[in-house]
Amino acid sequence: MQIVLEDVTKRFGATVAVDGLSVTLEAGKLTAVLGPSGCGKTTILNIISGIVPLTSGRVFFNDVDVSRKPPEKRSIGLVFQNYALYPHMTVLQNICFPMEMQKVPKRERLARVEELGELVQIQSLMKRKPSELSGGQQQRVAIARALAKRPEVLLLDEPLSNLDAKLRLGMREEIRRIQRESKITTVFVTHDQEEASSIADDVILLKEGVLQQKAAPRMLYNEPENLFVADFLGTPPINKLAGKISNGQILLDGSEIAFPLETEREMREGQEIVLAVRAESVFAGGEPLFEGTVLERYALGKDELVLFSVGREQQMRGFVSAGCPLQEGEKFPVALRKTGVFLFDAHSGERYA
Amino acid sequence: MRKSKAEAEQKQIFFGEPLLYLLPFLIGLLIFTVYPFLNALLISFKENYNLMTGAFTGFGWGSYSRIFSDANFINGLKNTALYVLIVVPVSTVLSLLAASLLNQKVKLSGLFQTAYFVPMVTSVVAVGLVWKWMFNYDYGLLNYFLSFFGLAKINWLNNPAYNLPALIIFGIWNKMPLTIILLLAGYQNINPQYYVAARVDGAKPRNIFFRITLPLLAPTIGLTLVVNTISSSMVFMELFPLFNGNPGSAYSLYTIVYYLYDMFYNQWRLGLAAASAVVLFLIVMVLTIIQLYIQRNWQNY
Repeated sequence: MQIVLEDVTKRFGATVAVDGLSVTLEAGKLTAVLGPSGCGKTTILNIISGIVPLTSGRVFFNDVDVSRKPPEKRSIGLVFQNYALYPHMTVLQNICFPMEMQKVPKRERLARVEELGELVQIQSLMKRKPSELSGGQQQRVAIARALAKRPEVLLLDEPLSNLDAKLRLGMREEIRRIQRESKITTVFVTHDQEEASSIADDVILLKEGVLQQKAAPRMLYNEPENLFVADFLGTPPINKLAGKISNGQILLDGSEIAFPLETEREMREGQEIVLAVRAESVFAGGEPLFEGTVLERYALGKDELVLFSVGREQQMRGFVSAGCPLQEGEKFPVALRKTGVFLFDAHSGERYA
Repeated sequence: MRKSKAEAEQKQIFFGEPLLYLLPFLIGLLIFTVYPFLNALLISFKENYNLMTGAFTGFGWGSYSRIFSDANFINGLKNTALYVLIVVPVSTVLSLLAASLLNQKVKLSGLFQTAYFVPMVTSVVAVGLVWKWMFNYDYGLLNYFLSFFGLAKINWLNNPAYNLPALIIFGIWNKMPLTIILLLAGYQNINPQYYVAARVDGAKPRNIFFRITLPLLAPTIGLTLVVNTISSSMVFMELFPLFNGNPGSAYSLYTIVYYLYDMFYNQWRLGLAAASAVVLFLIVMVLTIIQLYIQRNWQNY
C-alpha cells in the first residue's frame, strides 16, 4: 500500500517535531526513515500509525485519507523499540491476541500462527513467555504479532537498537528477508545510516523535522542533495574542505591550492564553499591536484586510512592499500576521482557540483 | 590469586554483626509480639487462671470447649466471617474501579487522589462518628438517598437486622484507601506501551482491561486480598462509634475480637480471651496460607 504524507506538521507545545513533510512511500517497498536523534523519525512513524494525531497536513493510504482514523482502523502492524510483548501471555497468545480482537476463528488463528512461526522462525518457542526469550527472539515474536492480522503496512521503530552488534547484523538480514517474502509495505525507523543503507529500498533522511532527501541508499550516497546528506552518510565521514571562489576557481582556505570549478551554476566571487570528498575518492598519484603531508595511518579492515594535511590548516582522510609505502611526515601528490567529490555552499549547504 | 580489597574487608565482618543491626527491631518484636503471643497461648491452656495472683489449677482444653459452647463466640465467628466475605471482595472491586479512574489523566485527578486517601489519615473512631450520622434514621444521608428511589427508611443502627450491613458498609469504605493506593502503585508499574500495543492490535477498552490490565495487576490484587482479609478478620474498633461501644444494638453483633475484648476487660475471663485470640490467629493463618497458595500462579511472568 502506498503511503502519502502531504504537508504533515506535528508540534508538541512549542517544539516542531515534523515540519511540512511531503513524501510518498512506495507500495511493497522497505523505506527507512533516517536521521539523528530528535529529528522526528519516531514521530513520523507514530503519525503513520495514527498513535500521534497530526497538527496539520494529511496522510493517505492508497488515496484514502486516513488522517483522522484511529490506529486500529488503519491496517497497520507496529513493532515497538522495546517490543512491548505482553509479559503474561505466551508467544502463541501474543501472536493470537490481535486476531482474537478481530474475532478470527480459532482454526484460522492457529493456521496463521503456524505460517508466521515459519516466516520468522519461532516455531519451537510458542509455549514460552517473553521473559524466557532472548532479545532477538522477542524481536521475531514482535514482528510475527505485528503481521498476525495481515496488515497492509508494517512499521518498525528502531527495531534493532536493543540488540547487540552481532545479532543486529543477523536480524537486519532477517527483516529484509521477511519483508521480501511477505511483500508488505514497510517503514523502518533508524538512526544508523549503515543499517538504513543496507536494508532499505528507499531512505528518507530528516534533519530537525525537515526532509533532506528521499532516494535509494546508493543514490543518497552518490548524489547527496546537500551537505547534511553528504555528511550523514558514509564511514569514515566525508572530508570537508573549506574554501572560496576566487577568479572562477576553488581556492582552499589556508593554502594556495586552487583548482578549476566544474559547475554550470553561477558562483559569486569570494563565495564561501565546502568541497566534500569521500575518503575512497582520494588517491595518491595520477594527475595530482595538490600535495598532502601524511600525519597518521590507521588500519581499517583490509584497507588503511591515511590522515594528511592539506595546506596549512586543513586535514583530510583517504584510503590507501595496506602495501602503500607512505610514511608519517612524508609528502605525496593527492588526486581526486570523478565520483564522490561534491561542492556545497558553506552556509546553505546547497549543492553546486 | 590475591584477594581483592572488598573481599578482604568482607572477611572482617564477624558473624554477629548483622544481628547487631537487627537487634533494635528484634527486641521490640520479642517483647511486644513473640512474648505476648506465647503467653496468650499458654494462658489459653491454663484452667481457672488468675491474672493478679498468677494462680491456675492445671492445663487443659477447658477454655476452648467453653468458648465454642458460648453463643456469643459462635455469633462472633459468624459475623466476622460474613464481614470478611463481603467487605474484602466488594472493597477490592470498588477500589479497582476507583484506581483505574484515578490512574487516568483527567482534570482534578490530583484532587481526587487526595480525597480518596482521607479515610487513611483519619481515626476510625472520628470517621465512625460521622458515619453514625450518615446512618441516622431521621436525618442520615443514607436514608435520604434511599428516599430518592422511593425506598423506605432503614433503621441501620437500632434494628439488629441492619447492624451488620451498616458495619459492612462502613468497613468497605474504610478498606478502600489502602487498597486504592496499592492498586495505583500496581497500575504505575504497567508499561503504558502495552496499552498502545493493545490499541493497535484492535483491543477495545473492555478487552484491554480484562486481557492486559487485570492480569498484570493480579499480583497486586493478591496482595490487597491478603492484607484486607487479615485486617478485616480483626474488625472491632468500628463497633464502638456506631453502637456506643456495644456489639450491635441488641448485643447480637459480636465479632471475634470484640468477644476477646469483652472476655478480657469486662468479664475478666482471661483463659477465654486467650483461647479466642488463638482461634482467630489460626483462622487468619489458614486463610492466608490458602490465599497465597491460590495466588501462587497469579504472578505469571
